Amino acid sequence: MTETTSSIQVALYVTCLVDVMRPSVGFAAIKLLQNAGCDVIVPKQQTCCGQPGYNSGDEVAAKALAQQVIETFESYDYVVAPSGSCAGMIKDHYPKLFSKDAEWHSRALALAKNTHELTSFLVDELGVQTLDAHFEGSVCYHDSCAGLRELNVKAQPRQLLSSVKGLSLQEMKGEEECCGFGGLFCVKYSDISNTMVSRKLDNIERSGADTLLAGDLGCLLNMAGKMTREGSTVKARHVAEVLAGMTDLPAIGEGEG
Amino acid sequence: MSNAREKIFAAIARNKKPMQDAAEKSENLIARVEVNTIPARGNLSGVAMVEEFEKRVLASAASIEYVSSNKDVPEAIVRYLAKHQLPNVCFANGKAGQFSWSRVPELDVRTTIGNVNSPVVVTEAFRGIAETGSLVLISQPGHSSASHFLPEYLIIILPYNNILPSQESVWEDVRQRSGDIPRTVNLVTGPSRTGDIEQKMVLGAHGPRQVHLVVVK
Amino acid sequence: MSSSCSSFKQNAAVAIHDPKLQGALGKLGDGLQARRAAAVGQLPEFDALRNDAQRIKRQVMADLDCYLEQFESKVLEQGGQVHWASTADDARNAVLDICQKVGAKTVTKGKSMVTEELELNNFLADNGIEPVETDLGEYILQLRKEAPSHIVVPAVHLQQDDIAKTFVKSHAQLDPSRDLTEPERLVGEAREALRERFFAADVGITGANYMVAETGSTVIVTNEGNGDLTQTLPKVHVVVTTIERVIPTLEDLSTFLRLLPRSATGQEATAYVTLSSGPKREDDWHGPQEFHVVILDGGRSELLGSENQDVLNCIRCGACMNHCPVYGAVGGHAYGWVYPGPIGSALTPALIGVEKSSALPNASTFCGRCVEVCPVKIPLTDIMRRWRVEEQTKKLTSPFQRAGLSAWAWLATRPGLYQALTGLTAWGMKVVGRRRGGLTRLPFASGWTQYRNFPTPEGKTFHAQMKQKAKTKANLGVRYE
Ligand code: SF4
Repeated sequence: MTETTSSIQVALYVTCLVDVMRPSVGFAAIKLLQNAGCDVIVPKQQTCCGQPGYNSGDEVAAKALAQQVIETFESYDYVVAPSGSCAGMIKDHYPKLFSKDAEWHSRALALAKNTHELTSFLVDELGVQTLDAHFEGSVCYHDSCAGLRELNVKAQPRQLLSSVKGLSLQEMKGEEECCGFGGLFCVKYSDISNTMVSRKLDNIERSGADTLLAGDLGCLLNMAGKMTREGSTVKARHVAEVLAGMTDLPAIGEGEG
Repeated sequence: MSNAREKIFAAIARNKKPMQDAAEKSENLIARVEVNTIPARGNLSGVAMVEEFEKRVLASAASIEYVSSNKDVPEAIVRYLAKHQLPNVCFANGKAGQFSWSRVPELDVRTTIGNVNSPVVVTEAFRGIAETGSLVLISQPGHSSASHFLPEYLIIILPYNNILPSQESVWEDVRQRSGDIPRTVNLVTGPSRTGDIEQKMVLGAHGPRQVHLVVVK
Repeated sequence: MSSSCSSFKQNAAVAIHDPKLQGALGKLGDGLQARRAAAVGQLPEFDALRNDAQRIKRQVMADLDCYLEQFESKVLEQGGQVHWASTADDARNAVLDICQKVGAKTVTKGKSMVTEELELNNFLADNGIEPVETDLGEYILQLRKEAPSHIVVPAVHLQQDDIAKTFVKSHAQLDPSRDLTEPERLVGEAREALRERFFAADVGITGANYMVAETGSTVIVTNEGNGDLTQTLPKVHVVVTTIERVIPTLEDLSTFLRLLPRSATGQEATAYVTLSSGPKREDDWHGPQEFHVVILDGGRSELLGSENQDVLNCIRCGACMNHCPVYGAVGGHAYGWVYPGPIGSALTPALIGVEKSSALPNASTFCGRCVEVCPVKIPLTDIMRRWRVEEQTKKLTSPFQRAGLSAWAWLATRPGLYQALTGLTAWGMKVVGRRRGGLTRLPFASGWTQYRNFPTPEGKTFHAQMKQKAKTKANLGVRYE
């Protein structure tokens, strides 16, 4: 056990997509947090943050899940998620969800204060400037909407990427434009979603980068799914994989051959 | 219709909610407690203000020249017309009819209402706004507001001292005038234009294609 | 106006496969978006102004009746008339009445979205009065018998050659082989065509961007000059506007005048801002002898005091649609009513009912770009989300969706069962998709797999791996508790 009283206690909110689709991102997050001196805890009781229900207007479902998250995570110093979308849900939307319920509202606010997206936690809270990582290749970075607009995640991942040896950042045009994922949106409005992700893919390809990075698995699955369908050679990875130097496994959506 | 009025006001009274963090409410709704932001570029004075004005006028695709007195205005107009190879005819709107036009006998200056639809119109501005390079034109007795929108070329005369830093300073002056606000107050910033075709700005839509400003020192 | 919001999906599918439309919409990025960014970048106080504007609007809404009364009394004092219209019908009749009293045959019109809401043109035409749109975009659309697809740039869905074709057909007296390849020529031709109409009109109808309570002025913010010719040449000027457009003072107006053009077209100032106050004064040469303001409620007063009240703060700049990726994909007509884009999705359910329009607030990824650019900081995505809640509460959503969400919540509040099931799912998908790295077909998510592969999961879920590691004590120094 590495538990010490002086280190920072961080509960990892791994997110349901990382749990099922790409657990490596969770392990990359653990490695990054530990290297930064954190004592990492993974609460067993975690599932989904309630965003699907919340964004579909089902506040009953959303509240049930939000209460579970609050109860599970409120006792830790910090909660960190490798996702701007789920961190944003907790930070920005839980308090709104409980705006008419004083007790849960204050618990939601307290949790919101301690919750962070992974790269912004490393840079803004822990003051990490550089990392000891290596990645040979050129990357472009997609700013996922919730991270960018709800949590101001923009400079932090770039700051960390700039210290990765061998890596060059080649920004795409429209890096702040939505990729068309939007949770259930991409299934319900698949035509529109497809138009959006097609435009995104154009911009990705035109950047000349050989790897696409982002901080949210939802967006990455969407873009990677489009890239593999269209036969693009650009690979997709979560930014944490590159920052933690864990890029041995195939890129998202890439076969084992 | 009065029935509609009652309905609307009743609905508003029923539904409106006071602001949560309402600042102390003034008796007179118009006498405002809080003061809005005025950008730095609207807070200049002296030479800096005039420089800003000129910069903004040019940015609005209007042209500008300075003359040293009212006496010099007619010659400036004649020079402008010659430069643009225009016939020596113009409509002088309202008080602009009183410049010493006799100094330029070659110029046919028309001042009657039948001539408002002329290709060149000369008019006087009430104020100029440095922040945006806008000219404030107001309706007045014996003066045509429509004439500002009809010609190809609009020439505006502005006394140097009437350049003010911001719209706010113009509103002060509007309130200083006696009586109600003029029927028409136009803020004109450059020539007429449209962006309706493929988002490209094209100068000269329904109003003047060129706006020329003569500042009288 | 009748709506087709409920066919949003079908409308969108057509729009997406219309190459001309896609070409036109593709210009938003380097056009209006880029110009706004440049203009905003040059004004350091822009965000402070947005805060001011939001405060002013909220202040107005908190005492809307008082500001409207003040405005009304100022208009009356200056010899103008105010007509209150609770419904679109009231407003149409008020306008018709004014026109008929002066025996109007033609009316010129400046750009006004409220008159679109009223379908005023058809109504006037049905009553024997010819409406003539004079804003270039609106003029083009009137010739084409189309509705605007944008609230600021009504013909943004058209390309130049579409417009050239329309002019060749409509201006039949001109040489059909004339050169219309430059936008300047199209603009010039419209100017010629409309000049006489301005002089001939009996009534001029404009909208109002603002009503200033202090002075009883209505304000239009324009570029072309058509609005001014519309409101100064005819003997009657009718302003058609809505209750939420009132602002307190001239100083407040200045705040909005700094925000509106930058947000809308990326201009520091539009070519014209015109304040109209009452009819012309006795010795003025031009200006209307009658000045009427028709003020429509049309359902807006019911938004006051509601959670969605801020939607009333909209200054109709169009920035939210210019920056909306959904609008950028489908254009304005797909939305099916007067106001497209994010503001349409937030406002339409309030004005025509969520039953008819719930497709609109659902058509958003909540990317938040609209909120980011809105000059009055309307929380558009929150408002859209609340319409979804209302839709869900009224059980207007599909039973399949409602059941699915409840089942998901039921499962996800039982972590043990949840993790067992997700473990199985991940394993199953892995087995099927491992070689190619993705699935090309998925039950229940054909919308996804129609256009993209579904990437294969790695295999064991994170939690399954953590459990295993905890057992074997290879726990990475992590507490799994
Ligand atoms: S909602 Fe905001 S951005 Fe959209 S039109 Fe209204 S003021 Fe402009």
